[in-house]
Amino acid sequence: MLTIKRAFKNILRRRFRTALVGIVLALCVAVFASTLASVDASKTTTAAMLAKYESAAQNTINTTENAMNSIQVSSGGFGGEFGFGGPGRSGSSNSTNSISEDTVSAIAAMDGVAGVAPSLTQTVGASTLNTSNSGGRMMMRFSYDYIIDGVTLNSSLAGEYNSILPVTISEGRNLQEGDGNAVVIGKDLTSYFNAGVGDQISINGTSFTVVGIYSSNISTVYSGSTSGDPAGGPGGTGRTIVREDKNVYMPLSTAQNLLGTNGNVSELAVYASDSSAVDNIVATIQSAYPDLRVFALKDMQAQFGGSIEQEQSTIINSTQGNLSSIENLGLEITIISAIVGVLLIFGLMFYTVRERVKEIGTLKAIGFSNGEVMKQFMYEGIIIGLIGGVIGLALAAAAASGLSSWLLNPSKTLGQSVSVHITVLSIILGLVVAVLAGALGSLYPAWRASRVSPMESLRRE
Amino acid sequence: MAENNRNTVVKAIKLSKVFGEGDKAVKAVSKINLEVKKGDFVAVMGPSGSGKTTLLTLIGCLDRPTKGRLYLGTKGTDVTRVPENELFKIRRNNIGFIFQGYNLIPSLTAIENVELPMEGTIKSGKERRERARQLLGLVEIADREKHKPSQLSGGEQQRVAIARALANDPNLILADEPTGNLDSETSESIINVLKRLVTEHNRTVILVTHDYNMAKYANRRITIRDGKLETEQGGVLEEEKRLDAEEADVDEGREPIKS
Repeated sequence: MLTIKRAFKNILRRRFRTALVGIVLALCVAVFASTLASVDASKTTTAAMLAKYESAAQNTINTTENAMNSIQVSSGGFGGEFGFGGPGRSGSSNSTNSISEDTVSAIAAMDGVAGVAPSLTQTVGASTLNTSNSGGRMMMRFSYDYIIDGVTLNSSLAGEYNSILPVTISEGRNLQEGDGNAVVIGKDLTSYFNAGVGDQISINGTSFTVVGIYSSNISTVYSGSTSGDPAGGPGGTGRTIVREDKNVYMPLSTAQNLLGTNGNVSELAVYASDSSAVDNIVATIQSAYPDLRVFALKDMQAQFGGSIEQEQSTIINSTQGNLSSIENLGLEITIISAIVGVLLIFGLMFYTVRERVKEIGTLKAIGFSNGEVMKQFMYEGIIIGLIGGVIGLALAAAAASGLSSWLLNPSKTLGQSVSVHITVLSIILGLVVAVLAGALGSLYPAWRASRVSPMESLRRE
Repeated sequence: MAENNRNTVVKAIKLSKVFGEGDKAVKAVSKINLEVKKGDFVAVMGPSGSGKTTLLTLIGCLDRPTKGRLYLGTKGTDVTRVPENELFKIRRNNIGFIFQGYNLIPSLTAIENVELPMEGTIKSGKERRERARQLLGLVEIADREKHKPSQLSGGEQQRVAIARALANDPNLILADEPTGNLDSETSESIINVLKRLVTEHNRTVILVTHDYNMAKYANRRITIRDGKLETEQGGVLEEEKRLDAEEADVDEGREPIKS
């Protein structure tokens, strides 16, 4: 106890120096503690993001599996009707509306065909292909205003194959049989048309009523990015998947009238009565209409499905990777602040011991043992560490929430607030690290002090 | 003889200290024989660089002799054989050191400075405080116990230092130029404190000084020149003869007679 009391008195003797070291030490502890808090918060945030994404990804897989016995028929050109990450089945911006009513009827009458769902797609607005290298991965984006998508509203088909219609209505209702000038628009178009459910919008001079707004689950996934515009564009540094909800769904006949296609359609979903009949149907259509592009969805599944799952697991892995790199960053910051703390105390104590050689010599001359001298200087280092630690934790507690929300901006990326606070664990850890830094930093100086010769007491100054 | 030995506090036989090696070796203390008895007040005089302070550091166990034997205390402990890490106990229990620069710990008050050497010897804080207060009274500075060294005059600081030297009731008090930093009037009062320790409290004091005005208070005056004992005033000639005989013992590797 006496040694501790003396250590305190000695520390108070050099207030300025101690204050200086204490402040820097406090900053170290503050950075350390708020990093812990930040890591904690980002774990929560990332976990929530991951869960959200995983459920969306699962949804996509379910939808895909639902269409195992369907065949996509499209009119030449690039038939990117199906592709994860693209703008859905409307990705073909150049498809020509060359499938006639007769063709549709002929295909519908083929053996094994249970039903057909013709559709008409046309992209409105500039259609630019943007290629960019984002996060080491090639990104392709189509730029357009919106896509008119005329869909089959045959209720028996729409009921069985819900992929015909937008499946995730976020507001209002879906299209249904008997709808006329009714549209369902993507959530990304509400501002473009400045319209909500029940409002009228005008396309090519024709007026439409918005009956619903759809929103695909996957809008934007940012991983490790700190900012970004959810409506599009790779924001931040992470990998980005963009699926823009910019379709205007309407009944097929309405679209045909609007676009003046004389009953022609751009694509056709053909549903086989049984998945074993699919291959046969594909061959029949292809031989009858060699100009059309025919794909069995199950083949696409084999071709792309794997890559979808791969894509999903890549994203999940990369998110988990980001999470662990955040944890590693936290660890690095902790180690660096601990090292800075140790060096700081080492410097202070080393200097102190050199300065107090005569005093140490006197202690030895009047009968102090090496151990007692060592203990005294160790205590001084530890007390300085403790003082710095306490001040630092107080600072961290005050600054953590501000600092962390600035670092992570959780509300922007997650749409929910994440509370950031100093935990009991980080208080304990902070104090332990501060005390250890004090002990470690003063170890060598204290040992040096203990070796000072009592002869130094006679030094003339 | 036995009676004599019981009263012997210091017995140095052919005590030597050499600094450096080879050609550069300097014999700071060369084959000094000295016996100090309980109640002696010995003044060690000599010009600067004569080795008088080195002799004091050897006797005070601050430094180890290169050669020779040194017996301390009435038990005649051979301190040249005490291992380095045990030497602090000799310094703590048997010796009180008084410095020219007072060497008080600046962060501690007068009474805390006096308590300092007792930390290893007296467990009870209350007891330590009581004893420290008594000692401050003895050196007539009891009213300053709460003052820090910086708030005390040189003479007052030296009185506190003397009280500290007495803390563990040592049988030997060593003073290295204790009045070197003080004016003559204060010096006289300090030397009188030391003198009183000898006359009234039967202590033993070895005082290193180059000032004859201080040395004259001592009952034995030793002069050292070039590391050698030159003259002794007030000493006993027979004593030296006896020591010479013991010196022969050491030369032949025999154990000197102890009490």
